[in-house]
Amino acid sequence: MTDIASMAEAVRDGGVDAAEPARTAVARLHEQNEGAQGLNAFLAALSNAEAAALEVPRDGGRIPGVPIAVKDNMATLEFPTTCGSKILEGYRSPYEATVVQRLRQEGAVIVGKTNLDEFAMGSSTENSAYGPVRNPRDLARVPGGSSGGSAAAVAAGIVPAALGSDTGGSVRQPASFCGVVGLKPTYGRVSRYGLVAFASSLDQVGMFGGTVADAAELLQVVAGHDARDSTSVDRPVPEFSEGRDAGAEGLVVGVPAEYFGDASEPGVKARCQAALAALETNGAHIREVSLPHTEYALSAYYVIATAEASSNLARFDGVRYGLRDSAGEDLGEMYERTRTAGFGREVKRRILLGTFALTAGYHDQYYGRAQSVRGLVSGDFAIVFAGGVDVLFTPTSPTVAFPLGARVQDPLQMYLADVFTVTANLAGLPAISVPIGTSDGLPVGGQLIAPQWGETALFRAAFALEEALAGENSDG
Amino acid sequence: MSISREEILQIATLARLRLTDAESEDLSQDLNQILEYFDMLASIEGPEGERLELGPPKAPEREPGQIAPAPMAYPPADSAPDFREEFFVVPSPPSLSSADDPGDSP
Repeated sequence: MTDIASMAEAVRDGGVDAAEPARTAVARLHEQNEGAQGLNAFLAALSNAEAAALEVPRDGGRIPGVPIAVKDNMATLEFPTTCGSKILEGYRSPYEATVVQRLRQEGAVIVGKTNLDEFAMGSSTENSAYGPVRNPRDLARVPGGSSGGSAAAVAAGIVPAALGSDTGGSVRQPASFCGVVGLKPTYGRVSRYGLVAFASSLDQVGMFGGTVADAAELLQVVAGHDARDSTSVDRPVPEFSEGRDAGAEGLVVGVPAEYFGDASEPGVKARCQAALAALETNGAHIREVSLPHTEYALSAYYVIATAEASSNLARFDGVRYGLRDSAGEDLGEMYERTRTAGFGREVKRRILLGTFALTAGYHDQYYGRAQSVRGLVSGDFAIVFAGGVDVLFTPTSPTVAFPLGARVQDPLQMYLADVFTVTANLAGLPAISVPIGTSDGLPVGGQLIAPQWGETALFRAAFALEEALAGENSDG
Repeated sequence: MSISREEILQIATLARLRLTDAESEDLSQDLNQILEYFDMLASIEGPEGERLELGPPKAPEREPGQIAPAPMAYPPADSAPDFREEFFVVPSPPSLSSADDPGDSP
């Protein structure tokens, strides 16, 4: 009983005590999270005593009693919301994120808040002020980031599914590193109300699951219009799993040449080729395509994301939230002292980059051009999908999980971990990472990308890929 | 493009951050490495090799029947102290104003 459907069914049918799945998750969480070799995947969680006292209704919604973990950049009432930062240490939100409310309304039990790169800025979850997260598949390696805590919690079997946020790949890349499924929905599909903003035009709440079905089910629960988020779009929410049994027959899978160059490790490329071969064997048509502006996407992404971050994070100044260092002589000094003490190195680096990119003399050179590139990248995708491609397939990350500490001193190398994922954020497209095997014993993820609002087609392809690779997810 | 330690300190002031000497030195190296990578943006051309139009992509066309956004009662430019060519005009940091500033910003 490790997936959402069987847990919910067992609770609904009375096969188990309705609170039992949550109690089991909390017990596992404390067992695996703490200690020198613990995962450090959770920053706050229910205690075993709190779990023992839980009362869960059997008929309370779509996923009654299912334990879910939530990334600690989404507002919750019963747990602090720290964003992995000292500046928000102990901060309690006065309201709850829409996605968290929807989970509760459908019967889920939020068992804890997961560790992350500070303000979701990072690709390894080593930038948390509360220490790095370990990858359950190899404790000496990073889980990816920035939603590394959520990915690790699912990969370790603590919870069947978890929420993360994906600004440039922060759900898909850790899903790839930890060997689980990670989804970034279409921008506007899921409310961002209560998600602490990093780069508002790119941020989207995402889902982790042990299987494609779990990721689809979690999206089903949280998707839909929210009047409290002006970027949430009012359109019907389809049944995301309706193509579950459709298979790969007739599916047109585009393979962009730009994602299969020298950037990827040989083991990653080999697993991608094997995945494409499996899809083709099951009836998919594989078609080589081109997305010619891909090489500019990473630069454009980091200019736009840091520019938006420098603006969004201006609100953390000691006046309204968390930490305040008031030892200075005036208000300006208080702002500076608070921000200097509260933000970590990577956050400061990105605030400086973004502030620089927006200064009058450099605005056109960086921000203006980055916005133009964003349009060109979106145009590339539109042309390919208009040409009859149902979904695109790429590696999720050029590498498998790297050792803890290996890239901390080299920010550019760290940024390059996102090279295959940022394009979907720039274009606002839905994308999913599905485990496609291992290389040297470490998980490899394959990324599928669909047109805007094409989650049903995306899930059909993801189910087909999962099925095509069933039983052969190993090296070779 | 390279950015000096003095410019880093100026940017830090704008961002309300204080940097130690060691931090500004380290960050100067990091930012220069990153900006060198970003400089590839300068080489990109438009679809037919024409000069790239700057700015965000055009808003998508609305489907028939979709409600158009209401115009703002007071456009932002009306309440800005200075607004030229679709940009708010703000003071440039002194150390940046000589190099690449087009010259007409205060």
